[in-house]
Amino acid sequence: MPEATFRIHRYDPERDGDRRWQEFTVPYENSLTVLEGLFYIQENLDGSISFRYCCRAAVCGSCAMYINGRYRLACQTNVKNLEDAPITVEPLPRMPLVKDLVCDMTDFFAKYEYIKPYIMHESQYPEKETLQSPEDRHKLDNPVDCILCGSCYSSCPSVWGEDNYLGPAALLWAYRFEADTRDEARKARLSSFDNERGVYRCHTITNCVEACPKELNPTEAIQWLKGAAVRRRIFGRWK
Amino acid sequence: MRQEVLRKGEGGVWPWFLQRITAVLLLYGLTVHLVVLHVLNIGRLTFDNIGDRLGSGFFIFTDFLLLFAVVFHGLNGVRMVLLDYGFAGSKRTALDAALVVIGVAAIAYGIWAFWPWLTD
Amino acid sequence: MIAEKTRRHENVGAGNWKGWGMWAWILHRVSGLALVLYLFMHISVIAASSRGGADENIFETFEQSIFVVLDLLLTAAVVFHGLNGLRILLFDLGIGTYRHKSLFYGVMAATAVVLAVFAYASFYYISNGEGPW
Repeated sequence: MPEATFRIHRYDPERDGDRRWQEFTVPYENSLTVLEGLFYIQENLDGSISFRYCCRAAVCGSCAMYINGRYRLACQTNVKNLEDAPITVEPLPRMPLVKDLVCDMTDFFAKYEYIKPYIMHESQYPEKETLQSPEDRHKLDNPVDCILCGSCYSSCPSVWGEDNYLGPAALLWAYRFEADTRDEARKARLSSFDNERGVYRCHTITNCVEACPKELNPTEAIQWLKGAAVRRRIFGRWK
Repeated sequence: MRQEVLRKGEGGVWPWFLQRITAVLLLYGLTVHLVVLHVLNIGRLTFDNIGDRLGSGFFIFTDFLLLFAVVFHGLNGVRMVLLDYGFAGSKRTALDAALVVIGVAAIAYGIWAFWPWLTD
Repeated sequence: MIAEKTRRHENVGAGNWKGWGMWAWILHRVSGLALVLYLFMHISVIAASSRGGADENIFETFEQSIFVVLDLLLTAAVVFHGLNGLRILLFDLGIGTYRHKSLFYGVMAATAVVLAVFAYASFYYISNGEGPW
């Protein structure tokens, strides 16, 4: 049975407060994911290791980690496909740490909430569902796949420099609702992102495009929002 | 409370948009500037041959366009960089004011420097 | 509500991650700041030559070999900043964000080619006393 060596980032604020590395050897047969490897370590080798996970199918975004120098979802990363040994597992870079592989996502989700991530109507909510053509829906195919794993947020130099910058994920979601034909939020959402710690803090560094495990494109979404801001001011077009 | 901090920082669309406009102007102006001066007419610059060139309206237009665009683009770029390093509130107002003063002074200095060729 | 506690124990070790787009951004910034410094020098040199009188030709200073090298560095900065700016303008129009790496390689290659043309012209001038065209 082949074996994989996991080199895992350990940090326990209550015990020593130092960051250190610990190596574990995990046997595997055919298709072991990094998340399953972590389960094995937790069950058989060291019960004190902490990590976030939930769906195990790349839908929930809980298990985004920095594995072998790349942003990956632990649940969809197959150990067989990782070329370098040992397999280095770290929490998301530049995020406040809680314990071991768990980082503090409070800011990240507060910023997501801040852009009002829901469809709003100008006056009264209609009794029936609002219709949308398949073409218009097709425009949203990309951003709705975002699972809020935080990889792009963690990779963005603008976020590293400015705590108040909303970050690629929140702005991708702002795009998702601004580009939606059913949404009539207009100024209600606009003030949250159309400023210098919103879209204009993005310098098209494109780290987010490289980092995203779902291969989405926050940069393009942010550029669309910037363009829409100009179109709105010059031509008075909202969509 | 951080939520209140988040509310600040309005504006930003015009600096961003004008940076793009001046970028396009500079792509035109600098291409003309570099190709005409340093590739086609390579040689020693003198007061007279610069004056000859500035006798044509096309070069006066391009050079003045370059002056305005490059000063705006450069100082706005500096602002964009500095804002990434924690300029907020009154510090930011002071930064904006300082950059406007530097910009106006640089353009005035540039026109003053051009003047002998235009009146010669 | 955004957490009030300051960021501590960040996993900065791994934060050395730099994508290709980030190198483009760093180079764009550094060349941009260098060009701003050059801009002010440029204006003051123009002022010195036009207001300093036509007799003392200050352009002779710039024919020393060190200035030829500095001029080529300057050309590299201008050409890279311009071409990468073009790449950013394409992003603004919603073109090529998925292909940002290829675009960056393209920008670097084009910068090298344009720089080679300028270097050829300047060394041709130095050795022959006239331009190649």
